[in-house]
Amino acid sequence: MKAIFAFILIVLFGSLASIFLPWWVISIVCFLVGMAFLDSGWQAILIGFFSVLLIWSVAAFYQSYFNDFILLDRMGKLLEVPSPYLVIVITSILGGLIGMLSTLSGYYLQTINEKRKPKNQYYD
Amino acid sequence: MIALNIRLAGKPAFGKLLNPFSGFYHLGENTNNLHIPEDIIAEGLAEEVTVYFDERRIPHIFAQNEKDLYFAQGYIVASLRLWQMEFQVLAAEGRISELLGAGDNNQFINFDIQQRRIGLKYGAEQKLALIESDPFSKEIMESFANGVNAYMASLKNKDLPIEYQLIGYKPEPWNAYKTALLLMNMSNVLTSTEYDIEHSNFAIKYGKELFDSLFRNYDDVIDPIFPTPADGWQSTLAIDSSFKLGTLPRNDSNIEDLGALYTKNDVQIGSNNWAIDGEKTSSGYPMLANDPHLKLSFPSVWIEMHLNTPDLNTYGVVFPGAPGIIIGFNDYIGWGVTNAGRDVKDWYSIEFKDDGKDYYKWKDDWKATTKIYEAFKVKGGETVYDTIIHTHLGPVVYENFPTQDGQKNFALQWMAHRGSKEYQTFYELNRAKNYDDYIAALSHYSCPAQNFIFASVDGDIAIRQQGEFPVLESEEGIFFLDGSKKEAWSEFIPFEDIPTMKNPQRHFVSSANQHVADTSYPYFTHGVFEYYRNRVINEELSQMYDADIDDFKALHFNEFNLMAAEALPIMLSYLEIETLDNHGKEIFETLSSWDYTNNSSSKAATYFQLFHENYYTLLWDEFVEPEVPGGWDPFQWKDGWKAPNEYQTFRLLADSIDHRFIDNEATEKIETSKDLLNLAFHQTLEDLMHLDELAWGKYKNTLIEHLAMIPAFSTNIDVGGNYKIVNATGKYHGPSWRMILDFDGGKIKGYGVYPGGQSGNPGSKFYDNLVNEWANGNYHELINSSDASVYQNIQYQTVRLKKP
Repeated sequence: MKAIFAFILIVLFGSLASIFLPWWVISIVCFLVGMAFLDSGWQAILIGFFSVLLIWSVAAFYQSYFNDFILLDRMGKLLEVPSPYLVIVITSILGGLIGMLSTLSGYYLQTINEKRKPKNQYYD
Repeated sequence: MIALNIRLAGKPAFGKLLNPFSGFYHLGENTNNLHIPEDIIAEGLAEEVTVYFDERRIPHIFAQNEKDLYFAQGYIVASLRLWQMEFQVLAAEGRISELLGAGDNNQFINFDIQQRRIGLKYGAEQKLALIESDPFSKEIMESFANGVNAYMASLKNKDLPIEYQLIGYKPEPWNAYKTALLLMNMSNVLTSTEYDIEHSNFAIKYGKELFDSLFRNYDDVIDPIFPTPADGWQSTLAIDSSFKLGTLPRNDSNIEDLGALYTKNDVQIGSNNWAIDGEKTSSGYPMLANDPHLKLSFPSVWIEMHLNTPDLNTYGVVFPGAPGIIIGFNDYIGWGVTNAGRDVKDWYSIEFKDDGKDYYKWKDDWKATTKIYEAFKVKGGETVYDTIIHTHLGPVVYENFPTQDGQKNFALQWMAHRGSKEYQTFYELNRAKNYDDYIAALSHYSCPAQNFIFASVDGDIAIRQQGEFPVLESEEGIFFLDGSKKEAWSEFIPFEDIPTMKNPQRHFVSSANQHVADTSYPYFTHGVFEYYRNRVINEELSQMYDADIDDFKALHFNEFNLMAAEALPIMLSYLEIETLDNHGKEIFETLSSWDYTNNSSSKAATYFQLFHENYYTLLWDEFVEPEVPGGWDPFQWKDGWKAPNEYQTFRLLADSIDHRFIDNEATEKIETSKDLLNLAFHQTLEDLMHLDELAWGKYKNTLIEHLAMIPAFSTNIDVGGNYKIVNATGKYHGPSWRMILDFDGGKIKGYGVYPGGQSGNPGSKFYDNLVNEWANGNYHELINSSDASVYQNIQYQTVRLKKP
């Protein structure tokens, strides 16, 4: 349940942030969600990867669709891939990896904080 | 994360480029929308400007005053072509290595140094001084720059054209200096071809007599732009054109190893223009046509627009980066240009007093040099410095340059260094109402010299070769000269002695880069001229009656190969047919029955191209690099050498003139013309074995190339024509704008099309939408109404530039 909530959070706030703020803010969103809501590394990897993959693939397809795929076609030639749609696939995977790494980093920081807690109490 | 946002080793940052929010996807234009908002607030406008974009995205700009008009022109041109404008100017100034690094074998640094040494920056500075000395021109240039800058200010980083994102840099503010650089670059493109040093090497090694017989300056077959007037040429100067310079050095050297000459702009650029008067048209009013042949590129060299104020209504094409219209028409007159091709670029040997190069020999004394220090920033490398030494003749471009007469330093005197007010000419042409206005407009123009063609609603047609030309001694400028004796040019051909022709008896005027006049013209002229297109055009025009625009379209697309018609029968007559196999006989038959037309499906055109290239390369093997396949004239010359052109080559063959170069140096045998032609034919048969595509259009495979040579943004097309043919679509160059004007009923109707698209954005459907239209000859009507309500309908999208 918490995981689904985290996924929705990233997709929602990640999309909004990407539209109005610099593109890399998505990784901050992922980082925060990973830090605050997730319980395991595997969860962070899967949710981070697929949430940003979803955002980037939809955004890339949406923009290319209204461009009649003119620029996607040329970028496919520029990047020397056999099909222009592969550019969207590469974009999506790149987004997924960024999401995964950011979410995982957030999750690890959370675990570090949790390990520190008892020590802090000791010194209180 | 950081690595994804930083450019590494020349590769764009993938996160930055590929993310779908600010990366390249963002630059793909929504095909339903304009590329700019419909309402724009622009600081600096006095009144509102309305721009109507038609379905080809051609802007019709309606302003209330001139300042606002040029502001809006700058804004709109930048919105369509920002990267191109900027990149061309940076290249002109010699700043490419700032963007791209040193390049393989320092090619970008060498390019930059070449640009500065020949003086593009220096010339632009002279032009800028002229602009700034005239408050009126200054204001126009500034308004235009303000418009460009207002557009730039509206952009966020992510909105910058894709080339900025791929290369990784940002645009600089525009100003009058940048426009001056752009115009200077055009001067360079149009006046760069001369062979002073190559000719000198030839004459020194093989003798002046042989030079004269192989490189004739004039021939009887030439049909000059200006026939000699009935009462002869007039000259207002007392001219002594005898050859008294005595500059040709002796043959006392055996140096074979020459240094590298800077690349010249291709001799393939050229143009056609013609006009006929009412005697020859079905309407009884004149018609005019123009097609300038330049390098075919994306974004296109031209952008099409319509400019209107209460006092001005003009339509045509412009260079992105300069205000006004360059080729076009208004409500009264139409005009077009072709390149004059005369040599206005001369070289002088300079002798320095010592290695300090602070003094050079001048008459019996030493004269002080001026030194200009230039710095070249190099991306990812250390700044490179160069000292350019100036003499009274111009900058020293080559130092310690090996020639057939020993090592020399060469200074360059070039008309383009002197500043030119061509912008003033175009400003006045845009507003001209009749022949007198046209002549007055041309009076400001000095470089690059052009053949300005003219027609008016009054029924007049005219042509004038406008430019500033130094008065030369006979043969002056064919060879390099002695800089210790030669004064800088100070006397120029007077305005009234420059050839002009108005309403001639033959009822047409035309030019296609041929010689300006025959040798009875009182001033010595020379340059690089074309021998074939113009003769076909004049032949067609002389037989043209009841003409309408379809006849002009047909002439634009005339693909008759006059060179082949003259040369091929002679070439074939030398072949030993009995030695050919069946394949060879078939090719021979195809060539024998060819109609000499280079249409796209012709195989014979491909055979002839290979046959004549092979012959030329075998014949002039002393001067041509043999390893370059397909030649695609200009042939790759051995550095410092140049062989006679193709016209002269075939003249020598036709007249059976024997000379030492017929022998091929690579063989033991002493060849004859017959041997060479048979060898060339067999080589052609061999070449054909390796070809997949024999049809001319597919073999030629004309390339329209992106300015930064990015293949994904370039296109190949299958079209007919070739260099030296009226439809001058070669491998890399061609008609960059085809325009026809019809003056029917005393009202000008224009038709035109160019190989490209209005937008420079590879993510726009307007990037290349006109290419096929151009290839198929679908001219568009150029709607130039000064009634704005014509544009207030569904076919047009409206943009308003508003003051704050």
